[in-house]
Amino acid sequence: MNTVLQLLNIEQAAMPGILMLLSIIKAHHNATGQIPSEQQILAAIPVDQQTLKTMWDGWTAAHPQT
Amino acid sequence: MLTRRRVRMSSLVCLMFLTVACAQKLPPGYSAQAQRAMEGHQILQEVMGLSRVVINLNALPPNSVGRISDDDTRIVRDFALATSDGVGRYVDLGAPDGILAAWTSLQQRLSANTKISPQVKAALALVSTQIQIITGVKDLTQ
Repeated sequence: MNTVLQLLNIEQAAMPGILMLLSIIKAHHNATGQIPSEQQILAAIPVDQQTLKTMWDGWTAAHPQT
Repeated sequence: MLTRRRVRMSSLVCLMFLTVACAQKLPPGYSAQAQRAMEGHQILQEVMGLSRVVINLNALPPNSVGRISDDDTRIVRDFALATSDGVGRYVDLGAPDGILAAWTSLQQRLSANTKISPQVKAALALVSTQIQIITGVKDLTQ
């Protein structure tokens, strides 16, 4: 009985994480009609990198080192 | 003995671990590189968050309480850009050494005042959690 309760507790604890992951995939699916492909996942990295670079280029331009 | 308190605590620990772990993991069928890209994306999101916090604190009027200096802001910038390169290397080659080196350099160079800023501290904690997940290095403090 204790084992059953422990398993139920673990399942209960895991459910938010599982639902979150499923909601991320579902949101993408809703937006694009597709589950993200390998290429889409890999393509996110250069976009992130460029966003970061743009953010800091702006700050650097406004704060020239004396 | 399994008391109610231990069950609640272990459930909370499982919840925290699985929430982070589930957010990191893709469903089966994706390659190892895609998995690394997912992890790299998480790190870069947290680094962007840190960057925004520091830029905003740097924008406070001079002599304001909590303002981050230009020097420290440059250090965080260097970290952000180095981490960005490190993530690229990690995704392409599976080597997290660039990410770790950037973090180590940040810890060495950043002033104590900036490190204890509550907003910066919180943002750094999020970044270090992601780095720990990728690298498996448990203790990133210096």
